[in-house]
Amino acid sequence: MHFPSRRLGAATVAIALTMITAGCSSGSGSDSGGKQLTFTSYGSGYQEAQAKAWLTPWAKEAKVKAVQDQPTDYAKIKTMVESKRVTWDVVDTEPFFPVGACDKYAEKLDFKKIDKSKFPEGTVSDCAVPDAMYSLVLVYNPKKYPNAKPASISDFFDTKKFPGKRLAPGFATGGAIEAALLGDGVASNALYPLDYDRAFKKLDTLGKNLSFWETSAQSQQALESQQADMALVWSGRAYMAAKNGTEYVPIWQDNMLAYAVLMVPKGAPNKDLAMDFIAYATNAKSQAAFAEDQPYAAVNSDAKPQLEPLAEEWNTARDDIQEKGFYQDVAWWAKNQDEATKRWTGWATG
Amino acid sequence: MTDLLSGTAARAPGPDAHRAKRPAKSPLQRVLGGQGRQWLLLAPAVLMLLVFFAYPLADIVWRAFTDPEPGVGNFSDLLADPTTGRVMGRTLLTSLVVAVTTLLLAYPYAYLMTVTGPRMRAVLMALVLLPFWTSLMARNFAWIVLLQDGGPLGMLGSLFGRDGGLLGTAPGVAIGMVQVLLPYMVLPLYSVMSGIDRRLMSAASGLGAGRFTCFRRIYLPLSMPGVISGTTLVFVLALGFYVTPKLLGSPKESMVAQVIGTKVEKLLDFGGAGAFSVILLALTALLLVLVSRVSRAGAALGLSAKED
Repeated sequence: MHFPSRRLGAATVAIALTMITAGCSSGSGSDSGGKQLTFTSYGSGYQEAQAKAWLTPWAKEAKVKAVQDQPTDYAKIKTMVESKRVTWDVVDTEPFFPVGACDKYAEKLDFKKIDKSKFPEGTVSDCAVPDAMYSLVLVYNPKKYPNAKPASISDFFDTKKFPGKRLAPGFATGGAIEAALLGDGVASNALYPLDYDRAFKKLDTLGKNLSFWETSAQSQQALESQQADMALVWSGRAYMAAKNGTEYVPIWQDNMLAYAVLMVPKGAPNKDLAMDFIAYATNAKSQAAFAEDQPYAAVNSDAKPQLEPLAEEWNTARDDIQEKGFYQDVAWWAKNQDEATKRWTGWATG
Repeated sequence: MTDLLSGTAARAPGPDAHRAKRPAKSPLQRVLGGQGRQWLLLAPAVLMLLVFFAYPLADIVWRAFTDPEPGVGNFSDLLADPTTGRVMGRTLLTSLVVAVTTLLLAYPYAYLMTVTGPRMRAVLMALVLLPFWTSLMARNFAWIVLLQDGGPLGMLGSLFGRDGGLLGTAPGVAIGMVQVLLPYMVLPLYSVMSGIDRRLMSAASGLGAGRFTCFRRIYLPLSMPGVISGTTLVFVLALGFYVTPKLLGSPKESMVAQVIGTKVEKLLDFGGAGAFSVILLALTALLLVLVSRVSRAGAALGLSAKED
């Protein structure tokens, strides 16, 4: 509750400074020729790497002034679009939002500029293209299970054979519903439409053994402090934890492949530039550069990132990981996200 | 009873008594002139409140009744949803527990502040204010470390029938909230207690009252305005808490603000979120009215004790 006022204070100062400096700054910073693009993402190292691999080199090449904002916020996009005061041009989001709100809150993309032939099958839609791939993977602490080792998602739910603490994503779209159904014996190609009741019943069997992470940073923190004996986490965070010296073993069977996308809010002021930038960000070179910096896999099939052995171990673009995995059904989620979130909230807050 | 006592004790003739009767005109008053123009001093604050508080609030209320369609649909949806009652009940209970715990911790602390010397008092005040000035986020993350499995306070988990840490549990959330809200209890209590004339207690014991009777019949009633304003303040702030329960709790312990957050962020349901906010606001307002009825008017607003 301290934040609004602080932010307000900062905003007031910022406005005042802008007003003071506006007179001096007009005319300087001229090599952008007045062209500007605002890129918004989730912040932290993720966005820094995106800026380093994509935004800065592109802006230099295209002679555009690049501006960044954060974090991605769907409510903000909705408000911007509805009030016709859009200030963001390109936004990194989960795919469900632009796919579900295509042409409503998201602009259709220009595939004359963006080459869609290089993306994995099924990841492209009219209003969004992938820009980073990862997967929700089951990991376990080998020290906790020195003898019989967990081997599948069913074992995540088998607290008799594998007692201990479980950690899972604490929001509907995170993949806990899918994992519960897999653990209950549903095949990965028969998950959708999701059977909520069956999934919640399965999750209930874990009782107090189950806790949740809400942000991926939390999940990494929990791994590093060994709070969980088994955890459903994003591959990138497990890799980061491993890099920091925590050894969790992945079970790639039935890993849930997912991806982040780039979208253009409806009515974005610099739509054409946005298309150019998206084309640049998803080309093979930019994708390789990003994958080398961050624990996310490249989405362009031509990208050949040079990865350290440990990074390669967690690289979800690897063929064997892709073969064992399945893609979260974005089209289904785009249509059913509201209902699923309501059901999830109803179950979780119960 | 407080009025009676403050009438006899607080207004006892003192060195300030004559000066207070006819205040001299301040330079500012001379510039501004008569009573009417003094109200100009309020203009910036009022303007600020109108723009940054009243307008957005009105917008939220408006949306609650109009988005997606005009009517009370958002409210009937909420009332029909069984989770609304559960979340509301949990929020009220958590806030109550936090307010009571904070009061129990703060009362002796504030008392100690009034009886020690100035140096010790400064130390005690700093102990309250230092965390108050530290970022809320930093403190929440510190609590994550303290409450997790194997953390020093995490061990307490076993007392609450949970093997391991308190992170992600209701007691964990309550502990974090108590720390964040403690200054809001200590400061009003201290301000009231420091105004209590302790000669009254001497008088009472001179007339044969025991220490407990002294406390129960004199000190406690005199400190009630502070108790009421502090408890109300903490309770009301706790009702709207978001960051601490979000970080220290789990979805299973969601409070109202988190559900409102989900409605806005995930469901883009501004109307439904507005309706839930309006219910929370109405409940808070009702509470404030009730409190100001049973206590002296103004106590609930933190204007305790010294306004006369």
